[in-house]
Amino acid sequence: MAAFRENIRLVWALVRRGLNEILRVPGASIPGVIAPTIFMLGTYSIFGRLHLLPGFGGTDYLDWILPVGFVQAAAFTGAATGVNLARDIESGWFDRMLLAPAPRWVVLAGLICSASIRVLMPCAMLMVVGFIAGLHWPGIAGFVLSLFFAALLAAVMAFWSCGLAMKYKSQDAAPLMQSSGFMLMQLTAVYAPIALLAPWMRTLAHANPFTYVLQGVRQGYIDTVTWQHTWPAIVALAGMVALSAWFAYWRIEKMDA
Amino acid sequence: MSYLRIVKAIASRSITRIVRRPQSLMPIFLVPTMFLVVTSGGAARAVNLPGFPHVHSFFNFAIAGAIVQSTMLGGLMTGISLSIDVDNGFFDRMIVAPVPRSALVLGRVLGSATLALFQASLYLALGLVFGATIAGGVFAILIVLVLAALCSASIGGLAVALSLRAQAQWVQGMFPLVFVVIFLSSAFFPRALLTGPARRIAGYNPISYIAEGMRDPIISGVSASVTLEALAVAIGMALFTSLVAVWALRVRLGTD
Repeated sequence: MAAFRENIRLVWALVRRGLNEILRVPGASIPGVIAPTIFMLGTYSIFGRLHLLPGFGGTDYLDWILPVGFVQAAAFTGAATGVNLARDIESGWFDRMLLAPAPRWVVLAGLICSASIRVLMPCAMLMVVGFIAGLHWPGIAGFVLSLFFAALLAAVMAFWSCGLAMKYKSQDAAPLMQSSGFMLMQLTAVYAPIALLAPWMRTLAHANPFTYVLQGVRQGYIDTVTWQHTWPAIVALAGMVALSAWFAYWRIEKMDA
Repeated sequence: MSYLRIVKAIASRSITRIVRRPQSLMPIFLVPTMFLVVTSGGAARAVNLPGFPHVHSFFNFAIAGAIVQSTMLGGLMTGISLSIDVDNGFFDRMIVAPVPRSALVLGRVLGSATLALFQASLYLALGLVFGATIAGGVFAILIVLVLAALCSASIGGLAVALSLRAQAQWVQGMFPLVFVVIFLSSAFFPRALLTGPARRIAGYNPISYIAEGMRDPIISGVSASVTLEALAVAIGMALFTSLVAVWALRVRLGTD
């Protein structure tokens, strides 16, 4: 029990270090915080009239597009965690961590938990700008669920990106970390409902687990929270967490201390 | 060595530097291609909106936007490449060479414009392969190529000026700015159908005119007024930013 408490303390110390980076290296954090908001405003400006299409169901386009920002924020935050780890590996700091008398899952858990907490910053920025622009309140359940799913997706992307960082041991892998989440996000019902997508895109969206996460995040903003839209998101996230955690754990176990 | 040969040699080196670094090519080709693909699939039904121009498909409509995005990012990569040269001291060695200094800057801008010809050709070819049509034929292709080169030179000039006057991270920080400028233009959607302040801002955004100047010959044939307007804006921007780049070099060397 004492050992477990020590492990939790170490996880918390690593989470705090991850959060401190926001203040220590603001230049590296700010783009990740504001990028989803810029993308949301840009997409709203460009495709805002799409809600006039038959089949859109009368949803305001701002309510439609803002949840995409949550998913994007999760993808960017997870990737940033991997890039930070790659920097720590390059500088030798991570080698010292691996020599510490702590299980490797604890080191990994610290990194992942910091990503899940950090994602709340861009989400908060999106909500503030969204409300100024006329976003409808999604209800407590819709709001909490969207943050919860965003935090879990950030964990998925952080597991994946940390795994890549440990495989390549270089910041050169940053584009791979950043683009994988961004591409998966784009191949969902980002701009319009699935029924209005081009047929090839519809097929890809159905096969893409990000689609179900996005539907889970979006449900409270465009309608009400239902179990029908919640369980597919939970299943998709559980599957992605399991796979990405296995990948990251496998890579950290292969790291030489 | 004649002035033109120096400009050509520097342009050639500038292109080689970008082409040899995969991390430079990714933003130039992968990001616009990805955006083209996902908007073509995701906003395919936009062509049914009232007021949307008559067009074969949204993909056909979006090709010009992809070219604008790609060439703007290509121009920016020219600046980033120069800031790397400034950081590692290569540019200082060039300064002491017995060559006209303005050629050092204009060579970069020309390199950016030349690379844009490849970028635009690639997207036009991609469009034709995937079923797009070019209504204005060969003349339309020429217009698109010229506008692409001028668009890249405009951003290239600005990025070169910035890399001579600011630290590398500021030049890299222009990436989000390029996206903001494109979002606030009619590069991806008809100006009349934009929403919010973007619609008004797009009217003042020179990128809107360049994008429309490329798109019009592709989707509906060559129109003198749209083309001349686009050419005037693009030539004006390219000249202005090239002059700014030369001025930035003079200020950097303390000769102004």
